[in-house]
Amino acid sequence: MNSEVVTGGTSLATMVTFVSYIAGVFLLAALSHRVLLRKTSFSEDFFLGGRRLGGWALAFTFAATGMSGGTFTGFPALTYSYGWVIALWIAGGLMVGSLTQMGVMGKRLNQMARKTGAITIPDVLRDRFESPALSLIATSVMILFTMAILVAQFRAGAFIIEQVFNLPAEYGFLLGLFIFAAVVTMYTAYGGFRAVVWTDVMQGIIMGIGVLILLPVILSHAGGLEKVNESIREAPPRVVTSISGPDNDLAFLLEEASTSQAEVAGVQYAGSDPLTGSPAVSLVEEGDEVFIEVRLTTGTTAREVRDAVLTDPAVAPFLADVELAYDNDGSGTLDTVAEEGDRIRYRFLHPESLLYGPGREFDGTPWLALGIAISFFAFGPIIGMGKPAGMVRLMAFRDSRTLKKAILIASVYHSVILVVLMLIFITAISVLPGHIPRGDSDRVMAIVATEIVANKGIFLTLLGAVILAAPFSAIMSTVDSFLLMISSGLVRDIYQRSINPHISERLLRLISYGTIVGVSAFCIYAAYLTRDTIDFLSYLIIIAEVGLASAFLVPMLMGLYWKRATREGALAAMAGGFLTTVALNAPVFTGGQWISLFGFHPAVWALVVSLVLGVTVSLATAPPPQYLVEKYFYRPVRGL
Amino acid sequence: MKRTESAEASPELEIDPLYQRTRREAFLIFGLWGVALLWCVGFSYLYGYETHAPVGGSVGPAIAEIIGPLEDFNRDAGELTTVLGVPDWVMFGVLVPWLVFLLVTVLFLFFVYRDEDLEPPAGPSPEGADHEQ
Repeated sequence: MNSEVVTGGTSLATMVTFVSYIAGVFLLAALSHRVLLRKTSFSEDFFLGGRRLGGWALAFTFAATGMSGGTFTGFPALTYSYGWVIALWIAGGLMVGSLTQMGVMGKRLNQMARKTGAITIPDVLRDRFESPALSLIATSVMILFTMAILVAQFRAGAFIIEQVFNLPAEYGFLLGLFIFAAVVTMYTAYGGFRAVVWTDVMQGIIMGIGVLILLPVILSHAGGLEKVNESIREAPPRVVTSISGPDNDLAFLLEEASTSQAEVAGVQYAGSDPLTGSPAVSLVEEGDEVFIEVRLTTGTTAREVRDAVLTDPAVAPFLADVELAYDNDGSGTLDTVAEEGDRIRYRFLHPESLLYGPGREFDGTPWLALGIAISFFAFGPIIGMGKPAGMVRLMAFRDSRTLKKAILIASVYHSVILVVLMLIFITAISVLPGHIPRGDSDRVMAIVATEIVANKGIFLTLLGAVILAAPFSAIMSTVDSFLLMISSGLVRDIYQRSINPHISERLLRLISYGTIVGVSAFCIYAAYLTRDTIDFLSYLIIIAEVGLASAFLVPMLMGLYWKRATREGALAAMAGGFLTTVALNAPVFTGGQWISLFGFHPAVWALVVSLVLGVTVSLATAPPPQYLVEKYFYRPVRGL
Repeated sequence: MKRTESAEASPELEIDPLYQRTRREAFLIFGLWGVALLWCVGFSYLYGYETHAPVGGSVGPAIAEIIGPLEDFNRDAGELTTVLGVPDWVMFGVLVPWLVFLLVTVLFLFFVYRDEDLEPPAGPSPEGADHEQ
């Protein structure tokens, strides 16, 4: 029923916005190519912008790399689904996120990279610990995880192009994929690091302006924040059932807000006869929680679940309405078949779930329980420090005054954008009540853009188009920096430093372009192969970002700030972080939930294991050679 | 972490003061993060959660031992108060500390975080280097 709404309109304004955005990106690439031609050291300039990055550029490129396509799809969806508790979810990044991510390592990493002429993060590790093995492992881990993210972003970019330009269904995705890949490959290879950074700045400024305008527009549409809270509070409780994952849901709205849990709980009900084959529905009381429990026999369809619940004499009196939700591409239907003969439980989702923590999943389990809240507070500020795409930018800024300025700008910019986005999508809860089922909530932003702001004058239409372009430009800015990172890994860490150190500048340049094109080609192929299967890849992405960060953070901190750190310690820390992430996330690959020991997220444990291993293995092995320590921790006495 | 002092280093070398200062700054930043964590998560969990029932293996019970039964802090929709349209707990648990820590960041950058010469000693010094703007 929502599918037309959800598809998102494609107006002329949107197409024009997209085309001008892409034109702008090419213009920036051409400009940076001209700068590149004047420089002498190709790789330092192509991969690091000649270490001359200024404050505004560093701030925006940091913020933009941190925002992926998810900031404009996943984050709005979470806000829409879980309400105000999202404030606590983003709190870590709001408080000191930019200070930790740039301030903890910034000056020291920059100094060390200048000292050795390092260009990539594995480069730094190799020099600091004199260990080619460490560098090669680091490069491999980086390429593995980054590739997974890249393929998914290629796919997302292709889908957006397919929709925006109304490409025909039979070859639209493939065409979209080629257009996306051609655009992003050309400007990345042509302009290098500078083009990537300047694109980030352009994106950052446009997004900032768009989001700041959108907030008052949607707030006035809703009648103010107070009204928003009121309408959330007075919304009827609902029961949501789903038999094939979150993409295929039925939402049962209770009769009225005043229908208390106690009343519902007072109903004694034994459940349908399982022998008839229809799903058995019953109300289950546990503590002060009430669940609708549906027992499914294998082969039960969503339609049968709906009918059973609606006709159930114990439950039906409390139900006012039923909504159907299909998943994004429309493949989920009422005839989707349950996989297991299991029973599933659904909690009544009461409006306070949206006003307070911890937020509720469909089955009533808390979303942001205390341990997870603490974990997420560490996500951006602490674990985020270890993201190679962020660290490599710390090797590129000009001097420490630039860094300070960038921290200041990024602190304000990033946190203001997050808070404003949060307020926008909290407001969306009341403006679009019951419109968007959770499985489809990734489209919240698109729906806001097409329903709330479009068709209300040319100015707002343009705003809507810019908003629709937001996820696309975020995807582009992730893809370009990752393409460059993989290329630098292959060219620098593997080819130049391990196979052929005496490579000429000309050849280096050709190989750098070549790897970017090659990686893109691979991504096209992989994205095309996986276009219909989201499973494995999307699971890999869940762990890719944190896996990367938790593999790199401790070895890097040890290298920068601990004289006694040994190469064995760094290796152990890297392996520990990587393997812990993979092990604790293993159930995710079979559709399960990650393992949260003592309520904490796997990433926290990965960091703890990495730190403990790094320190103990370092202490257990022979101290590092004196000349290495002297090289990085001492300086010549300056005679007067 | 125990530091072995410069005793065994060559006499013409001294410990790099940038390394010492940046390390001190790094620890200070971690400290700031810890304070922010206590304030935000502590306040929001106490005053902003509808339920404090422990979920499997949660740290909740340990906290309950220290400050008493957490159920007293459970909230329901009727008692929500707002400040400028923002729920009370979001205002004082997230938005106010956000502004406070923005200010702290500014002060830290101006008064604690030092300007350093990042070029290697042998290389050309960037003194008086051109700054953009």
